[in-house]
Amino acid sequence: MELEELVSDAIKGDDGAFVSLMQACKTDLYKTAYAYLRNEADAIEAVQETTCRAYQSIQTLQHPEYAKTWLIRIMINVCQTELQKRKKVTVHPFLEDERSVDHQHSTIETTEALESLSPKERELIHLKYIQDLTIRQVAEVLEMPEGTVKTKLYQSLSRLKRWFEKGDDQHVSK
Amino acid sequence: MYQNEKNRLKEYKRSLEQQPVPEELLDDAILSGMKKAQQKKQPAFKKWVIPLTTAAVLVFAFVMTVRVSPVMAGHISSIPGMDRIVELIRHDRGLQTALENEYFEQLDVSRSKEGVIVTINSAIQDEQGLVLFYTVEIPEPVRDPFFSVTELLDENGNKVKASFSTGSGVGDDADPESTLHTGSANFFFEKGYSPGRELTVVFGDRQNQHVFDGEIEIPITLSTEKAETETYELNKTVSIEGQELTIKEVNISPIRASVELVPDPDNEKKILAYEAMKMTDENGEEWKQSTDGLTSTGDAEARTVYFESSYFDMPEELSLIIGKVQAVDREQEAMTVDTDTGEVISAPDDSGITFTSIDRLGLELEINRPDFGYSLFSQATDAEGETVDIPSAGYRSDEHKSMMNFTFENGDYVNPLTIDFAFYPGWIESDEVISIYQ
Repeated sequence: MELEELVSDAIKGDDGAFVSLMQACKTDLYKTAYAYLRNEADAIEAVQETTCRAYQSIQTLQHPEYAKTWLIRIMINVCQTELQKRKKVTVHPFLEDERSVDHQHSTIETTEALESLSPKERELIHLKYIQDLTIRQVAEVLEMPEGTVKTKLYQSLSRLKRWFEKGDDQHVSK
Repeated sequence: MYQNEKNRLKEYKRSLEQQPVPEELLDDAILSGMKKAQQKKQPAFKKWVIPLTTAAVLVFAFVMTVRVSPVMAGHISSIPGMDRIVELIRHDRGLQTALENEYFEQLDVSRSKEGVIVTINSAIQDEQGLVLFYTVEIPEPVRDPFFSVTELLDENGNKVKASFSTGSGVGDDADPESTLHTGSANFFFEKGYSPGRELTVVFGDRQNQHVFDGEIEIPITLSTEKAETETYELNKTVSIEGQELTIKEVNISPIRASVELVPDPDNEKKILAYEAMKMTDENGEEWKQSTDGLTSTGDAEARTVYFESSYFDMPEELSLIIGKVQAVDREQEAMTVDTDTGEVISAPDDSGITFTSIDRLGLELEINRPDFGYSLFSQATDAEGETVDIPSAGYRSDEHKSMMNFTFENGDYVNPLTIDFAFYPGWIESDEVISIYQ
């Protein structure tokens, strides 16, 4: 069945359609969760929580054509809440040693750089560069003008750039 | 620009894609997540769309357990579909007597789109407002139907200047298998304003259930006759537990009675809502304040509260009793939260409100008393002074507590958020009898 058909059946209260919808989106949801939480167990739990929240509010879904992005946004929110909880109990999970292994740099550094962004900036970067939404799609799901999306994207990229530069400086000076 | 950063993000994306996906564990998580939601669900939140005009005040409709349908005069009850309309206004004695006195016009104008047929059946108009009764026929039943009037346009296609409330889904319509829904839209005009006779009623699918796309427009022409409003100027001040309140004026027309109230700006408490005002006559007959849909307009400085009308039953003497009033100390009229950290920065001390969830998308809370069906918030202000609208809220209640959720329109705001109370679970009371006329 087409995704949109599943979505409209799910909105009408068809549980089977809802499960199929979640299954169709599970890979993207899991990867989003993994990007934020960085371990399998937490990511699976986040998928469960996202399913629960989505089930409770699917009738309020405004644009069925963006159901997947709507789910991703719920997931990002679930993850950000989880990260917030973690901040209170744990210190930084990366060891200094990890940073010095050159070929792993990029991914770990990118993760750290992404974590330095505000929740809003990170969501924007995630939707545009990880989920590969177009500027127009991002504008529609976040309900802001395309110009604003572009400006905010560039602000976020520039913040990443500054972070990378600063990060490299620290590395060199070691 | 930022090619290096984009490349890093690409590489990061690739590494994510290489991550193995625990397919079966995810399927389990989906099923258990759904089960969790079903267990949590209890009675569903009743949904309300909050009008963007903050001046309009909405009260959640209670599901009435006692249902008494009024008996209508023979002629009226023989009009097809009238039984459903009578059911719809069974809480409003004023509208019932208007119908009994044949103060309404039969319109029966239909338009259809994609198999959906919308009919404006009849209208009641006067100098204070307009009530439209309509039916919507849909090809297949949908869950939680909410087809309603979204706009009223004048003969030039401009939006009519009016607050309005609209609702459907009572009685037989609440049946999820039903394909015929009856509803009403209740417009409130400011004094001296008239939208003219040639109007266009715009219908939308407020829950976005995609039963039809876009909107359905229905042109109607109203008659020239309007009953004249009875106006009583009072300018009387009463003291309610130390808070001064002036009753300026009472207007009574067939659709409704309205009372204009102005609290003293120097009061220690901010008056938020009048919960149980009533009008009484010399024999103890009562006309109640509207308790459903739009119950008042205005703001804390000046408010107009609506009542069912006594127009067709004017007694010898009519008096007003203020009753219970929601009020909050001026120092605590707003609360502050940080939705990134989930922290409540400031809130009234003994309000009985507990937050159960705070995040960037919205808030969930509990109030330690049942049946508090008032939407606590309708708008927030962010750290930069920008308004963050709360376009929808949910409400449910069990025997011990009331639960509400609020969704922010736009996640693009800067914390902390300051949220003014539109309603508040704290009261002052007056049972003084104030004469409207003798």
